[in-house]
Parts: sequence; structure tokens; C-alpha cells
Amino acid sequence: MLKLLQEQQQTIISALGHHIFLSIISVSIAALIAIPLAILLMNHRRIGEIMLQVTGIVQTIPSLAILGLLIPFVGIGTVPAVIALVLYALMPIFQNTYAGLTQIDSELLEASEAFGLSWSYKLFKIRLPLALPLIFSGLRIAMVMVIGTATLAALIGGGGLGTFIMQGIQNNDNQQLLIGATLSALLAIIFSICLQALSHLSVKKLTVGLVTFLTLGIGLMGYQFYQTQQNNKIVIAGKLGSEPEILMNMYQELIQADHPEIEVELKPNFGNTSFLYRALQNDQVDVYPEFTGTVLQNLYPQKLKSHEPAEVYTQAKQVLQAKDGFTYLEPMAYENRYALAVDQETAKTYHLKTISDLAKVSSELSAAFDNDFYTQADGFGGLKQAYGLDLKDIKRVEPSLRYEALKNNQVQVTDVYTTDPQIKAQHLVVLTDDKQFFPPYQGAPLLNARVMQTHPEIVASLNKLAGKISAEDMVDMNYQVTIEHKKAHTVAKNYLKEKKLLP
Amino acid sequence: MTANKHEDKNAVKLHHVKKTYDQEVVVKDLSLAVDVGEFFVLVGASGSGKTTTLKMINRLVQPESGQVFVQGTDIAQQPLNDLRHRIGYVLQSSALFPNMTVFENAAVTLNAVGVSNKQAQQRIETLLTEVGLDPERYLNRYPDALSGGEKQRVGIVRALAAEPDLILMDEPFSALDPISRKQLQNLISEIHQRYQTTIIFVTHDMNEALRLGDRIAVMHAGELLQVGRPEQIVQHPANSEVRALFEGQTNAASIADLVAQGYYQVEQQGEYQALELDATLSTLAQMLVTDSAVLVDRQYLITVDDYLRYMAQN
Repeated sequence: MLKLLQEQQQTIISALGHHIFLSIISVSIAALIAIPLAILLMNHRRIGEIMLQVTGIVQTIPSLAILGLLIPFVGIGTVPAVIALVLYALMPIFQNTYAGLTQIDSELLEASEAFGLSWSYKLFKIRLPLALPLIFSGLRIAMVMVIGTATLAALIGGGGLGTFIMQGIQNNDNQQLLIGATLSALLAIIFSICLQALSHLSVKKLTVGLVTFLTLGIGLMGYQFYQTQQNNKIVIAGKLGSEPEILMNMYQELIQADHPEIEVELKPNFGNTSFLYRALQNDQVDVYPEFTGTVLQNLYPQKLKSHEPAEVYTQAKQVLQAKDGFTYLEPMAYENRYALAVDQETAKTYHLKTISDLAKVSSELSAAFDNDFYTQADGFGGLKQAYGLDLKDIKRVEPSLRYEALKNNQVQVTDVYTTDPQIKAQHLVVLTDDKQFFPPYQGAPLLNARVMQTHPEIVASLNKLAGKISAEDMVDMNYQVTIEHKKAHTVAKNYLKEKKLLP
Repeated sequence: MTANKHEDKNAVKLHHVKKTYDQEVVVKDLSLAVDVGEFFVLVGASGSGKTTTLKMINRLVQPESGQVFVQGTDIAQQPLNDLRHRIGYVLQSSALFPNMTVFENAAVTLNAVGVSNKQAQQRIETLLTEVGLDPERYLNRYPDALSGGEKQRVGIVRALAAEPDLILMDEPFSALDPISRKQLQNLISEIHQRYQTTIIFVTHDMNEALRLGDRIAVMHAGELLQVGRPEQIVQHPANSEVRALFEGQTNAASIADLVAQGYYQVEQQGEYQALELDATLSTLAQMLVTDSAVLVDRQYLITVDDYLRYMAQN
């Protein structure tokens, strides 16, 4: 854990910084909406009560739904994340401010009337200061909530600590999950204490501080937003993990080698495939690497006509063209799908190269499988029938424990992804799926119609990867990034140079 | 009561005012004139309409018909805050703003009319001294750190600060303990004598009305029963209702007055006869004939010497 913290120090600090930025800016904007609104409505009780209901209802909308709804309008990244967080922060701030302003002792209000005090004096010197403790408790609730919810920004490439949590979930890496969760909890506590300290400042200082901060924050965000709106450049995105990031960097290098004038922006770490796809539909993203299997199993689920990789690719390409007018370029050589693997000793002892080889000796061997793989129909269940596998014993374990079990020779067989860097780290032998039971997952660049129109010249550059990159290459590159912590950019560039794809 | 002739003399004049809440008439066609410099007490049971009448003078309550004149001007015809800056107001709960210091509280009206902070501080310091609060100790305190009596003294300073033409007081002492009440009654009398500011004072305590008022207006169910000097009201009540209200009430001093002025000892060793605070001075005198001291309200020990010194002073 400490090792991981040290190795990823920079990534963690920048994610932490971004998380703090997202949280503060969201709560500040929410405060700037909710507090004046409560002031406006404090003398209109009926509308005030209605607003309390409205902000309460907003609270109940699932965050995923809000993000999904926002993508067509404001795209991806920081802006929709902030909007969603602002919506969530509204209720506690409005509710507390409204309560604070309306529950002031009526004798005090009568006194302020009777002394002929001005509207602004009554508001800034009497009502707001008296409501301040409640307002601050609202801000603290909102802040704690937003810091927790801000992890969802990772779903749409909005960055922050959620990236660790998503990656942790995806890779079954508890350490990453723990880092993300612990840091966001710590952040919540620290901010709650800071707000408590701030609550002793005067209304004037607080207002000036809030407005200054917001002007800077919104300016920064507006600038980012403006930049993404510029039509000239190409936005390349990718899902979470090292592999998409390596591919994105290759795309960028290939395009800019041929067309130095084209500006390319990278948006890594999208935690959710369907959000990424929506971003492509809405021209927020122009290119991202997608797998043929994902298109036909998840995005537009349909029966595969065959398990022949080329045919699956053609089927996916036609669907994407027909549904969204997308262009799906030629796929790379490797596949990223389920496979069975054994350690080198077992492979040697039993002469194992294919799953059919394994089937012959399966009764002598035990396996450790990931629970998902074991229960899915297109996982072990189907595989067992297709090959007539009859394993001695099957353990369902945490992915990270599988390799321990292999090392101790408690089991000999396990499931892996074909580009999993652990194949290299644990010296595993991947068995060929000689009966093509697993649906093929080949990666290829997916382009939207807009970029095909504005920059058709990039197709030739991207096609240089067609048929390139073997599974071994990909395992090796993933290894360099996730285990050796090299930069995805460097790894991508080295590979392209080695294969003479770059000058 | 139709004081149309002497408008110059009237600090406040109510002319056929009426107020209804939820179809219930709270003030019925009421006309009343208060002279400049007068200590005028509106007295009546709760629900008699006295507070509503008071609040119509600074427009916290809008009369539904009739007119109200302050210094001869119809208040409906002048800017609201101008009117209120000239009228001091003391509430029952003191209503000091808990987020402001004693100084800031006392200076709100001065602030609103644009008096410089320095001038305001001088004025507040003088007034605090007059109400018996040491400015050095009290100026920067928050209301939380004050006793009930101290709060109400600050409330009085706040009402006096902008040198108003008129001070309205809405049951200002009714929430205080009997001793503080006596002390503040004495204080407001002194202040009235010193500044000659017109005061309109609402109370349900007949004894307090008799002690303080130059004139008293007795209200019942939204109507005036009688307006007159204290002795007129006691000796010649206009009807049986007024008589009933003031039966047995005098402005004669009670033991609380004696205690309020500090004529007592704190030493309480030994056995003493006990008396309550509202007992009359003659009861006390009778007991002191046989005993050397009497324990009042379980805490104030009054000796023969205390009694004699009090009598000599008053």
C-alpha cells in the first residue's frame, strides 16, 4: 500500500487536487444560487416551501441519470460533473439558509423594523449573521456530500479520486479502491473542520471571499469549456486503464506525425462505456478505441453470426454505421477477452498449448476462477460444455488471490484477460481458444461522423495500426505501465518507433 | 378627548383609529392625545388593545381607519423610516441583537441616521453611565453576558440614543424580577425627569401605571374606559370596571422599593421572621417593632436601621 502510494504520488496528488477543485467550486456555485434564493423567498413562505420540495426532489434523482441527461448539452469532463454536484448541494444549503432566515425571533425582527433600519442593514447586519450558524451547517453537509459524490466524475472523464475507485473496482484492486475511498473520507473531514473555522468570519468577509473564489473558478472552468468547444481539434478519449491510454497516445502520435497542424486533445479514464459512447454521439469526443465484442454485446446487443474475428468486426462495423453513422476502422491484431492460463511448469508437464489440450488432462488439475467468470454463461459455464472440461476442483476467489494459489500449486488453471499484465508478471501461459468459444474482442478506432467530415485525413494515419500489436505486445506494454509505472505516452511512442510506424 | 384645538401641544394624537384582526375588532374607534413631555401610560388586561394602539404610532400596525399624528404630522404622509428614527422603542424582551455588542446594539438608530462612530460612542457612553452601566465594562459585551435587568437598561439606552421626540415602551419591565422592576421603574422616572421626552408606556400592572404615569389611559376590549391622573383614577373611577381594576392598588411604596434601593443586608445567620416582597411597608414596620430584623424573600435581611434610613431618604 505504501509502495503504491509512493509510486503513484504524482497521480494521487493531481487527482486529489482536482477532487478538491471540483468540490469547492460546486459547493460555492450552489451557495451562490441557494443563499440568494433563500433570501429572496424568506418573505414569500408559500413559494419558499415549494422550493424546499423542489430541491428535495432533485436530491432523489440518481447521479447516473443526471450525468446521462447532461452529456448532450454540456458534454463530458468537469462541466457536467460540476453541474450534477451543484444540483445535489442545493438542497442542504437552501434548506438551512431558509430555515435560518425564517426562524429568527420575531421580537428581533420587530425591533429591527421599529428602529427604521434599511433593507440592507437588516439583511447583512441582522438576518444573515443570525442565520449564519445554520447556513454553515448547510454548507458543511453539502461539502461532505459533494466530496463523496464527486467520485462519480470519474464516470465521464471528470477526474478526481473517483478514478482510483473506478480503477480499483474494474481491476479488482482493493489497494486503489482503498486509496480513493480513504482520501475522499479524509477530505470530507478536513473540509468540515475548515468550514467550521470559517464560520467565525463576518458576513462581509465571507461574501467577498466567496465571490472572488467563484470568479476565479468559473473563469478557469469556462476557459476549459471554451477550449473543448473549439471545433478545430480532435478529441481522443478512452476508458479507464493503461491499455486505452496507451492506444490513445498511439493515435495522437500517428496523427501528429502525419499532420503536425492538427491539434489533438486526450481525455483518458472514462469510467463508463455508455457515457463515453454518448459523448461520441454528441461530438464531445471524436475518436476512441472500442472492442468489437463490446459493440455487439453491450452497446447494441445482438446475436453473433459467428465467432470468426473478421466477421464479428464486419457485423460491428455495419451496426455502428447504420445506427450512428460512425466509422469503425480496421482492428488491431490482439484480442482482449477471457482466456484460460496455466503456469509454465504445468504447461510443460502436460504439454498444454490449447484448451483442447487442457480438456484431455483436466481431471488431474484444479482451477481458481474469478466469480464473474465462473457464473457467466459465456464464461466458464459455456466453456466447460464446449470443451468437455472436467476439473478436479474449482475455487472461486478474489482475482488477486488467484496468483498466490497458482504459485503455491494449490491450483494449476486460472482465468485471465488476454492482455492482462499479470500474464507477464506471473509468467503464465495463455491457452489458445482453438474452438473459438469466446466471442472475439478486437480493438479498433471508432470515429464519429463529424471528424470524418472535418479531418478525413486521419484515417490513413490510424490505419497504420491495423493488424498490428500482438497480444504479447499488449501484455508487455500494459506491464510497463501498470507494474513498472512508466508513462503511457512513452510506452506508446517507443512501440511505434520500434515497429517503424513513426519516423 | 377630541383634542383638535391644541395640535402643537400634542406629541401624539390618535384620531378615530380602528383595527380588526381576523374579523375581531381589537381597537374600536379610539381617539387620544398625549402632550409633549408627558409620561403617558396605557394600561389594561391582555387583549385590551393597548399594545396594538401603541404599535399604530410607529406604524408596526397599520390602522384600518382613522389617523395618527406625531408632532402634528399625519404619519401616513411621511417616509416610514424617517418617522421611526424619531421614535424610540423598548420591547418586552429587550430584543437586543445577539450578534452585536452592547455598543453596536445601542447605536443602531444612530448608525441608521448617519452619525459618526466616534460621536455615537460618546453618546452611548454617557447614556450607559446614566442607566448605571459602566461603559468600560459593558460597551463591548454581548447580550448573552448580561442579566435581564442589564439587557433592559441597554434597551432603554438604544431607545434614547438618537434623541427621539417620543419613546414607546411595550411592557418593558414585565419580564423582570420584582427588584429589577422597581429599580428600572425608578430609573425610567429619573430619565423622564431629566430629558422630558414624551413616553408612552404600555403595562398590565396597575401598580406600575400608578407609579409612573403623569396620566393613565385605561383600556378594555379595544375601548378607552378612562383617561386621567393617577389619583383621579383611583379616587374617581369612571365606572365599576375601572374601580375593580384599581381596587386596593396604590402607588405606595412596598418592601421591593426598599430592597431596590439597596436598604438591606446580605448576612443571614440566625432565625428571622419572613416576609414576601410585595408586603407593604407598614407590615414591615409592625414586625420591626418586636424584631431587630426581618428576612424578605428568603434573601434580603432588613434591619430597623435599613428601614429608618430608607424612610429618611424618601
